[in-house]
Amino acid sequence: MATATSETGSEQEARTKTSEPPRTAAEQVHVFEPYRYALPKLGPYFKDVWARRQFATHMASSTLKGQHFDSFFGQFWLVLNPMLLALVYFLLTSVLAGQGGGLKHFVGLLTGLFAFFYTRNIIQFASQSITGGGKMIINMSFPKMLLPLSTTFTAMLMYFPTLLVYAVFYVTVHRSATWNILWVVPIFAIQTVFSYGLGLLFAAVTLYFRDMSTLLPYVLRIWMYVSPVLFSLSYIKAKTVPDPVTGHTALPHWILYFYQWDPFSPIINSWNTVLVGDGPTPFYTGGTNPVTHVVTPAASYAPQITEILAGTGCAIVALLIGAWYFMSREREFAVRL
Amino acid sequence: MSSLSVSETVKTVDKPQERRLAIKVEDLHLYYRTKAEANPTLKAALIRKAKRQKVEQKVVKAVDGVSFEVPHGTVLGVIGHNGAGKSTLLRALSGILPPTQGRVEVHGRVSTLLALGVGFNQNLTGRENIILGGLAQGWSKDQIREKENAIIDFADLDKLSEGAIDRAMKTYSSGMYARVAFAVGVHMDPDILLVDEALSAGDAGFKEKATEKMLELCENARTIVLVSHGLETVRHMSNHCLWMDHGHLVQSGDPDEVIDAYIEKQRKDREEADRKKAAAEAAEAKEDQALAAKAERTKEALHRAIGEDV
Repeated sequence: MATATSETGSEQEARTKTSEPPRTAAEQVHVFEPYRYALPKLGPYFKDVWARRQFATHMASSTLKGQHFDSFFGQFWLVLNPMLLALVYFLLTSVLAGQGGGLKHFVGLLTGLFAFFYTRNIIQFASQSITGGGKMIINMSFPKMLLPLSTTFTAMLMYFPTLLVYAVFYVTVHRSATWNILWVVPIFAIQTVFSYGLGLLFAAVTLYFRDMSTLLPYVLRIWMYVSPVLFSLSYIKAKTVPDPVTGHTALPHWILYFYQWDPFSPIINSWNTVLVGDGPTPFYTGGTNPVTHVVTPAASYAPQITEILAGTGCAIVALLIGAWYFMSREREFAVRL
Repeated sequence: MSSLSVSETVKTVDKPQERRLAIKVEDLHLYYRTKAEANPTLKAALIRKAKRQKVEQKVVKAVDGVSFEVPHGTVLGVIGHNGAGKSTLLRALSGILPPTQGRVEVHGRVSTLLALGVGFNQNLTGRENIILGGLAQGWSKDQIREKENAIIDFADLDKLSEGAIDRAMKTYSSGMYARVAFAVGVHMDPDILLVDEALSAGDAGFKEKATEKMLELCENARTIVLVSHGLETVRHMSNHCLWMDHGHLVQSGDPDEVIDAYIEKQRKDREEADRKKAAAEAAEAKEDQALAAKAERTKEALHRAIGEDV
């Protein structure tokens, strides 16, 4: 990227050229000067990003198209993949582990799992976008932010069919929903911003520490277990309350801190709450509590506003940190590759 | 012919004031700080941190103090040996690599043909890749659709293989691939086109067509910077020539003069190398002879001492 892009020369240029063939576009003047760790001029930068938005979206769809280009099922894999994934987890939780709860529990499990995989994909694809986009970076001048943006679109295009599969399970089990389910739209937006911010950060970090590409999948997997993905936050809270008789807790108390201080926690917990409720058992949806045999009304599908606000805050902070780290270093990427 | 000092400004035409400036390079330095770090990893970094060591830095001066100006409508040929800094210079002109020192000023929309098929996806068809390549160059889909037919006509794949444009590009031969990539590059209506060895691909027929197209672009007051090892291509196409050597500008001027001087230098270098090689060979032969003589002497001495054949 140019350190400075100015179009002040355009008028002057237009006046001096008279005998030459007409040119429609205004004359652009680019000045390239020595590099320093600093943000590029934000105005021209985002103007350039906006001008090339079609490139990011088109590359995303082309990547997916190319991926399943010579397979028998082709684009159907986009639906087939999440279905097989669901099957794996169904076998794991319902058949092998012999947990009760049947389909309802299974759908609850898929809720957090699919959403987490969306975030995981965004971060993982983005982290490979710079090191993998070497040929483009070394041969073309463009705002590098477009590469992680494009992979984010790829992750999104993979997520939508996944949600379709999820919706089928959801309708089969729950049959009805309240208007509160519309909360999924803003939560999805918050989650996307949060994930993209982290994606930008890891895209740049991976360039400096190549080990990150191998390390990251493990970090992300561990992160899944310390986020309320497979359980709700209330479930963890219930499990860390000491038993009134023995004083023991089912889970060590420090685990709660992990779940509480994880920046992704408010987002994923809101998502789970909106879809399958939040309660002292996993994916509690009201009715008779199997432990206490107390009948309670169905869980509210409305998320906690504090969680939504905290999630929004985390997303903005993640985006700012990620974008600052990425953009202030991106001019160096071509040299680093 | 004029040999130039490192940072002297070179006017590439006789009357630069009358023509609009396309590119202005002022004392450009571009160094690669290749950290002599065999593996840039977290582990290595942590170990270094623990030992309080710093990474050894090696500076490669790819472009070392180059200045010149190019008015619009020039076809500038850049020649020089491998690693002379030609491609790095082009990357600095297009804004890909930030200068270490100095300044580059570019007037107009730049299109780069530094490598063929940037942004292409091998699994997609030629037609789809035309759109992808165009978008990568910063154009909108509508703008590309307008030019799509012209690009396909120019690439002229049908002549080689019927319906190839709608087949996946991984089924293409390298020449066919180059045709599509080149066609996309030159149809993007750039003010300034930076080309790096793009003409070397493709058969004679296509090369001629490509040359024609580039000359046509020049007539429309477009500016082209052409990096090539094909000296005849440079001689034929360009109206100004730069010769680079180890990051320095050796000579700038009329293509015929510069290329002749370059060829002369190469011949001299080769002769010099030949001479050195011959000298080295002669020295080696002499040594061999000496050794053989010594062996012979030893043998004789032994023979005398023992009194029988050894």
